[in-house]
Amino acid sequence: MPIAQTRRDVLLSAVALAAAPILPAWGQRAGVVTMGVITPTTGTFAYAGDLVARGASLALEMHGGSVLGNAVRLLTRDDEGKPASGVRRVQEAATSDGMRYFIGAYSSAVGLAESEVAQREKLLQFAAGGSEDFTGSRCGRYTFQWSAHPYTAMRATLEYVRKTFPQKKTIYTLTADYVFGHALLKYTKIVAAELGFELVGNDNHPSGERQYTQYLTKAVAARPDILLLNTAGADAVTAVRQFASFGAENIAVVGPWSLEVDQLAELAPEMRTGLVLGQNYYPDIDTPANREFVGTYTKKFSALPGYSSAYAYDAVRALLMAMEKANSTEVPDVIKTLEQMSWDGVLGRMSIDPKTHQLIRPYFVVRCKQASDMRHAADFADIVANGDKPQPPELNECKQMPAL
Amino acid sequence: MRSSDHNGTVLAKSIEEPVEISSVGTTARPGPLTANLIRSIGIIGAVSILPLVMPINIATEILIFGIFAMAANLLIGTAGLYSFGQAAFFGTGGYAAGYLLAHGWTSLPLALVVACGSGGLIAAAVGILSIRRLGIYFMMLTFAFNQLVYYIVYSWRSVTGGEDGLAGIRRPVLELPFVGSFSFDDNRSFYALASVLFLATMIVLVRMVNSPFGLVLAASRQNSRRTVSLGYPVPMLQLVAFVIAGAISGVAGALFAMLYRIMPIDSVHWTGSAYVVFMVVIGGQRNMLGPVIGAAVFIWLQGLFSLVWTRWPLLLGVFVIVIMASLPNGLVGFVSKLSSWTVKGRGQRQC
Amino acid sequence: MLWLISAQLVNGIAIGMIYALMSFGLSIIKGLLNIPNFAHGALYALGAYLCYSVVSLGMSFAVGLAVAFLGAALAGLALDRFAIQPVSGSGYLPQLITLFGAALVIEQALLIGWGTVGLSYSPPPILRGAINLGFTIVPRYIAFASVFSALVISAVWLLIERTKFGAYVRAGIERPETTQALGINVDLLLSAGMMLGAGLAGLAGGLALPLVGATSTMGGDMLGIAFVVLVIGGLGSLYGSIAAGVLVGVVQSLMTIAAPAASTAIIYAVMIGVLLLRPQGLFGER
Repeated sequence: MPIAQTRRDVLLSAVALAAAPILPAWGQRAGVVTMGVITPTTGTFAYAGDLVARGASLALEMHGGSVLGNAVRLLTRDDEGKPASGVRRVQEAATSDGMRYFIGAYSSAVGLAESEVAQREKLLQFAAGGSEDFTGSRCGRYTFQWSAHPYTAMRATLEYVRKTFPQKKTIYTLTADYVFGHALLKYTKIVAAELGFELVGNDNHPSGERQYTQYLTKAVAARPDILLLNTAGADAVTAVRQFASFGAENIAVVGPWSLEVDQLAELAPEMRTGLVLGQNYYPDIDTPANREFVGTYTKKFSALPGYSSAYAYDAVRALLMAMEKANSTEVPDVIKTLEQMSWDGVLGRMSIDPKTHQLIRPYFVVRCKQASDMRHAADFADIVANGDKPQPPELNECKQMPAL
Repeated sequence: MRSSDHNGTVLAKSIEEPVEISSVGTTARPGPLTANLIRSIGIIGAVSILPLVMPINIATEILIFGIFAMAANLLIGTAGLYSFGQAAFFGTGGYAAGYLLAHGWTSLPLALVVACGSGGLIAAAVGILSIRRLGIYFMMLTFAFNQLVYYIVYSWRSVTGGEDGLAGIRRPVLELPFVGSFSFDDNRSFYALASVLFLATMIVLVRMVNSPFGLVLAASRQNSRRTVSLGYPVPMLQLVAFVIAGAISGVAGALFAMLYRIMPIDSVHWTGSAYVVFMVVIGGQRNMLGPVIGAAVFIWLQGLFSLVWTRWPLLLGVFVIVIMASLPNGLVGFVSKLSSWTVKGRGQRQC
Repeated sequence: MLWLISAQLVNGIAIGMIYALMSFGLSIIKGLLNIPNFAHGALYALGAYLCYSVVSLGMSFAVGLAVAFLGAALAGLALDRFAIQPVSGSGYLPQLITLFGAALVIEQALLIGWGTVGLSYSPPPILRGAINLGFTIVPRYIAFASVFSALVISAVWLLIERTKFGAYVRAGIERPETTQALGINVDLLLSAGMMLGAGLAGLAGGLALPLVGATSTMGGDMLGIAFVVLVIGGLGSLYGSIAAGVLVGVVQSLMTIAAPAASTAIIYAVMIGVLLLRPQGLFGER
């Protein structure tokens, strides 16, 4: 069994090998700023990809398509919700397309993996995701975090519960068994102590679990006042769905960081009713920037924007704003400017904590409506509270930010 | 009736495909020296051109998955062992080497030996438990072991990083006495490292396939019972092949961990095993160039399709179905067929 | 503690019945066509989506389940025709690969047809709420789903063991060549087997809709479990997967008492344990 049988085979195979993947290699051209939108359009988070891309292109369009006289080019790449694919696409875009800025990770695992490339290749990453490591143990000078800190989220959500339902005191937690869930559980304990809740039990479930009845049977048996979901995305959707079949109406379901507005449509209205949820974004937020965003977005796409679109829109908008303020499209200048910048974003007054690169921003708590109260198909909930208490500095694990 | 090898035993097939026991023990047709030379130059040439025509990280990935696919082909193409669990060994090698590289041991030989050893060790454990199962049983067993390894990696968070993958991996350093030390931080030097290992793997595997060992494996693929009755310890030899393939997959995994400096959890998932079988089957199983071509085409198509359409896995699926239906012997088999049409009367062709 | 164990036992049996339904279809396809159906998960997802569409058109859940079965069976026929048969002459590896390719196509087609956001459906009112058994509570829908699965499995059992069609199927599994020689159209029989197996996957998907909703990735989650159930039951045994399904459900459920995070890994460990003690699986014959 020789490698190839004839000379012709070898030549044909060599040609096949060589002519295979010729991707367009443009390189960084003068007068063009290349921004990457690295986002999942396949895999578990498939729903988010197109929404992120919409928000980013809308921000660019409303900014006139250019910055400081340079054309801005958006590159959209599929990270498949997998760290390896995300890193591959970022690396590829940086070396062959001259990409210097990127947004759009949706899963924290992907975003954190990409963050390492960002530090090494000196690319500015404006990430979103639930992990506190972005601005904690794995913080970096080139990475900024748009989503709220889990502490902020937990505090805002439980503060609302404490004020509105003073008789509800005991909490049973269901925790996703990976870094994100454990971080939420850690802050559950801290915030419960701060606000005077009692934790009566916890179950960890593997991520991607599709059977929650066994956990829920345990939880219901403990008769807590509150079932707190320290789990997110499809897992949270499934848990809520299966909890609905228990008909345990005296247990309030609270999700501090479980379901963004994008995913609420996945639940039937009767499963949602009464849920208390923390939100990074909600279309009803009443700020001038958000009104402008929602108006344009709705006109263009005939749908309300959600977390994915709002994040991409706001992050790209802030980057373009920082470039103009810095009067430069060089990454180090933009980083220094962002670190000092304070601006009116879609969420309200926002700024960056220069020590951690965490966006200082409000976090919103919503309560889901009954089907009969919904004015239209996407009118899921009312904003009932918001909070912006930052993570106590002594709990932060981000050591000194390195020099640029 | 459709000729599916029922319960792993070959019924109709053994009649169509007479076993070439006579060729066991003799070496394959030794090509003229010039042909060998041209062959080698062609491959080395292709490996050198690769990074010039595509992003270098993609070129490196093609070599890494080429190594992985060649190892899988030792099982699929030569021994006829349809393993659907190769990602377990790829992952084990990657995590083992990655763990050392992330914790300060950055010696290249150490990383490679550990990757090779751990991949081989896990393959030995899996192989001992499953090698005597035939056909479909073997396939599903390897699949299930793959998932077991996946869940171990998933739960052993303190070592593997769990869901987030193993981060903080550093590229290794090669210390050579009297010459100095090489670091592979630059992507071009890392590509060079990958090419050396790629070519070395190819040479080793081609020689192995043509050795008596490889020929007995091939004979047992065609008719296991007859080969056993000729006195060859077939299960033992299959186990050895399985361990070798696991060890080489481990090296490929280690290179993958070094390439992006992370070892992601999805690289241990069974879909990784399915993809490497894809590569082998798309490219062609009858020689070692096939899997490499398969790996290149597969990686290239993934990149291309994902730029074309957000629902790109659909295109990939259609591509696979069409290739399988129209070219059951893979791309290289197709190329050979073409050339055998053009060059008539060139004597007997040999697999 | 005893309370908790018995509660999880009941729960595990219920979940296990759905696994059994899923794996039974896989087992029929494996028995007749001698291929592990890598598209089984995608067919399961297809069933869930079809069922969703039917009930959101205002029809009853029963119609939804019927459509899930029929739709997946037709998809199974298409798979047999366009993915399995064209490569049937070249051994089962190309068949596996095309089935895997077909699974990619089906999953993406679901995203195109129904959108990327997952879908939910609450069971009909009569199946909502929970039954209090005194020592535990069981959601009504879970109870329904397990009883329904058991009925479907029994019906298929009767079909295979008590009808002429079933006799052909058994003959096709045990002696394909002889069956062919007796003048039975084995090709047609294999297509029918594929349809039946695929239909059961679709039905399982429809049945799972109120529990796990409809998402394009739901198939991959289920496929791994279904394969393990098949291996534990014994690849050579048509009915082993039924008992193995219940066993896996119970083991998984009980494991959540001790170490919830390991509840998925444990089923792979059980599988390997079974194989060490009985290499042919619990009910497989040598």
